Amino acid sequence: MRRVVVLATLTGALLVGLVVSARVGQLPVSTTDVVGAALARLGITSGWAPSDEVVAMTLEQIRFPRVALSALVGAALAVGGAVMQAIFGNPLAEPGVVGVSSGAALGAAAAIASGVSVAGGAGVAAAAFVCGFLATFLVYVTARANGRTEVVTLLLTGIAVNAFAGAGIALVMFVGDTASREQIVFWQLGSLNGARWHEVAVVTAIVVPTTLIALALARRYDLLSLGERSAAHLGVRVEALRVGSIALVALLTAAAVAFAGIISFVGLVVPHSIRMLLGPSHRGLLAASAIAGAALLVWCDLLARTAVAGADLPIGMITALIGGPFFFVLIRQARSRAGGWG
Amino acid sequence: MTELTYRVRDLTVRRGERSLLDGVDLDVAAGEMVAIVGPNGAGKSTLVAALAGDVRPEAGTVEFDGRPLGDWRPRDLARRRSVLLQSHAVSFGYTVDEVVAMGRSPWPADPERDEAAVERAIERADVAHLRARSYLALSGGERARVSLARVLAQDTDVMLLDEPTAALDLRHQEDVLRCAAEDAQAGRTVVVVLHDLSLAAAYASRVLMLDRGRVAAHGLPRDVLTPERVRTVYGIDIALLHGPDGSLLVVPDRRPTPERNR
Repeated sequence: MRRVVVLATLTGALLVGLVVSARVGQLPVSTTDVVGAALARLGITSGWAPSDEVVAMTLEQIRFPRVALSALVGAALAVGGAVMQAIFGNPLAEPGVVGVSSGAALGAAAAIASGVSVAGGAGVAAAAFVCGFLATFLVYVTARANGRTEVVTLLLTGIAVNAFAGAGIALVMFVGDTASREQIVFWQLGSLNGARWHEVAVVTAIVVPTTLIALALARRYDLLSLGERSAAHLGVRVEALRVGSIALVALLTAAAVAFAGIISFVGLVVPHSIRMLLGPSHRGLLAASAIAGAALLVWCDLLARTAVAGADLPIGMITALIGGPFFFVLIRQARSRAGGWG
Repeated sequence: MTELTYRVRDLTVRRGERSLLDGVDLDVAAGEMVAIVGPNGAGKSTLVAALAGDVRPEAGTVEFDGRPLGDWRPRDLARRRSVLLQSHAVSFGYTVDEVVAMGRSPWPADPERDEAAVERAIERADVAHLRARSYLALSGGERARVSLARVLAQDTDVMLLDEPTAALDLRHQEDVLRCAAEDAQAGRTVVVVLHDLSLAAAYASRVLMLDRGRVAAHGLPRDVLTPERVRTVYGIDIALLHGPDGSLLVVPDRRPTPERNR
């Protein structure tokens, strides 16, 4: 019952966010225009389709891809965080914190600077995936010992990976030309500005299947919380689950980073909050995190576009501004209620 | 001859240069409760890990139900044997109910049967009063009993228990071992690591004593737990007493040396 209420509320927040975000901007658009254009986009004819050509073009080519991308990226980051926390058995593991995002950003930056991006968005995404996978694997191998993750080692590894990736990105910027330099700066701050439909298509092709796979593995993630050996004693093929899940995290992170840059804290704050509402069981956690992540990023992007008139703030800055203090409060609550991290 | 559950021959496990187990032989048949005893670092947990299929032996064989352990699919193994480890850590704040129900995961979902198994396990491990609590809020002994309930809920014919009594109070120590002994009498197989030699003597049908990775003795409790052998293996003098029920009690001989030979 509680799960139904939470999922319904989150879905409501997402849908309202999608509509409001599509309405607001330099050119105000009415709700009926938004709904009509969205229905038309889905192939449903309704009497609400915008009559004004400029409105239709704005929605179709600027607002919709941006809103869609923000929802997809939010879902990818939240699910990626939840999967990462499941395989690390630690609620502090998050792609941004442990350096997977910056690893993927290094791959994306190198791809842009070396001109691989001529292959289209998919080339950048592929480079982001390869580097994201390597970074995840590196962190995993370093921070796991005897089937457990030490928080301190995890965070220190994150510092090391972030430092290395940061240096790599700086190097790429140093040798790159002005155009790629600008693009790379955009990656580091995170932004959904200038989203295109082909980008939405690539991200959809990655995020939807990976999220479904993660949901199918939910029960196994529950068992993994008992520790790797106990999970194996219950019939889980831990090694395969681990490698497969690292690939999932890298795919989800790469999909987000390749087109939206480094957006941190979503993968940390969203699963955390959902765990407090619904408990740690992974089926509900992953489903609710996907919706909540999408909703959060849609609203954050709206804030990024509207908080300062005429300016488009980097969304990575917004999520960190909200996420940082929020996370701090969550830590304090969790410590006093559940006796720490166990 | 009944078919053996475990047939271990010349089992050798190494970590780096150190050998943790060296040429261990062990047969376990259905209906037996075998206690593994020995000083710290004797290789008890390593033997349990080898029986569970967690470690790859350097040499020797472990056959389970007549088949090499490595040939078993993880799922099939999980329906045949359960394992209680020494560490009972759980990463997130699942409720006790949820943790116990995880024991049902190897089996095809069957709500009625699953619920019955979980109920019975919760009752046998005496954790009914903790059901709705978060696992992370439990004490060490409570966690151990919930983990035991999870293992019982798995409802397997073979149970490997690594120090199930370590964190428990006196009454629950007895409860846990009585529960295991009942299962063995009902035809199941139990291999249990114990530190308390009196518990081993009272409940086990056979005792395997390990000393630095080798089998020091193996047989009936009263044949294995002799003062001479305990002195050699543990380096402590013991006295053997008899409890009110006639069971063997192994206690340290704390008298000053001159008084002992009177």
